[in-house]
Amino acid sequence: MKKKGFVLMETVTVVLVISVALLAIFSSYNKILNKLRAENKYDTTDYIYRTHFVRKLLKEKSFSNGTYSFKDAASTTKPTDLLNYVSSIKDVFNIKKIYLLKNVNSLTKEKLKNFDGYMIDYIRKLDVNDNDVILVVEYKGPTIKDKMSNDISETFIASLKWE
Amino acid sequence: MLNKKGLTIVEIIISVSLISIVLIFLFSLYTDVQDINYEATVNTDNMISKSLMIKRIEDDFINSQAIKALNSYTENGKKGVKFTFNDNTTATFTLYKTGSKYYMSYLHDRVGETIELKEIAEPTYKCSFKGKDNSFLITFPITGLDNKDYSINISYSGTTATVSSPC
Repeated sequence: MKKKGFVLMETVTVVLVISVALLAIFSSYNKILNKLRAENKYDTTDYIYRTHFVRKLLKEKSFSNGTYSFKDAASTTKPTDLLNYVSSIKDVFNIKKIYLLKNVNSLTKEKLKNFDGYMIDYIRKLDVNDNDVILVVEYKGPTIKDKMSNDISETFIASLKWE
Repeated sequence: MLNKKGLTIVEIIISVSLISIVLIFLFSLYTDVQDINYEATVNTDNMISKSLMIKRIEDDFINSQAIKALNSYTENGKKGVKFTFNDNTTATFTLYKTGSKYYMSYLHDRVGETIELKEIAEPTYKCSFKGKDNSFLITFPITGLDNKDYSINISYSGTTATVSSPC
């Protein structure tokens, strides 16, 4: 008797292999899409310029005689939120948090606990030297509607070297 | 003796139908990918245009004297804001439509940049303003046809006099 066609096991195996391959393709496609969405919220041009003005204002308020220096705030174990020093532009520029960070590459899990999820994600993506002092500002973006038509507020983050 | 080579008509019809179904599926996938590619190109172009315009305006603010006044500005169908600097030079940011195309333009003493925006919804030409002491944030809302946000946000903080809303 001639045996044409496929046995059940062959069919199941082929379907399984193709499903696994498609799942792998779909998950990497999803990763790429998520990365694109995240990049739109980090270091966009308008927020970089706002950060420039924040840095300018902080430098004007910074003491140079050693009484208090914002660079010292960068080297403490717990990062200080400098929001109170920019009260004049806090509401105008929709600023949520301001940090001055140093040794970004060697921030331990313990120190990262002080930051929220967006900030941790952003800090991990920073490409800086250990000696660089970085001013990182978190902004409240415009309110948008999500898929369930609920109002959600986006978060934007931008940073500049303190220099 | 009968020759048993070849295909029956039913086999041919079934094969052609199955291949057609697969080809229709592949063709719709191809057109979807083409659409996604076009949307991505338009989005990238508009994001670059937005970044270029903001950079042009903010670099000009940083390199110029302090801003002393903000006024709304309308001329020949162009609507926007006029900035007056301490050295009495003026700069204008405007949005306008020519034919079926939309443009945004920044000119300081008639020198500057004009950029086309692609595939956007008709702008409202109305800005929103937030200001306090020596700082302000002016937003010109611009939305793409796919609801993507290309708003122009002009921020400034300096030794300016308190400015009132030009919107």
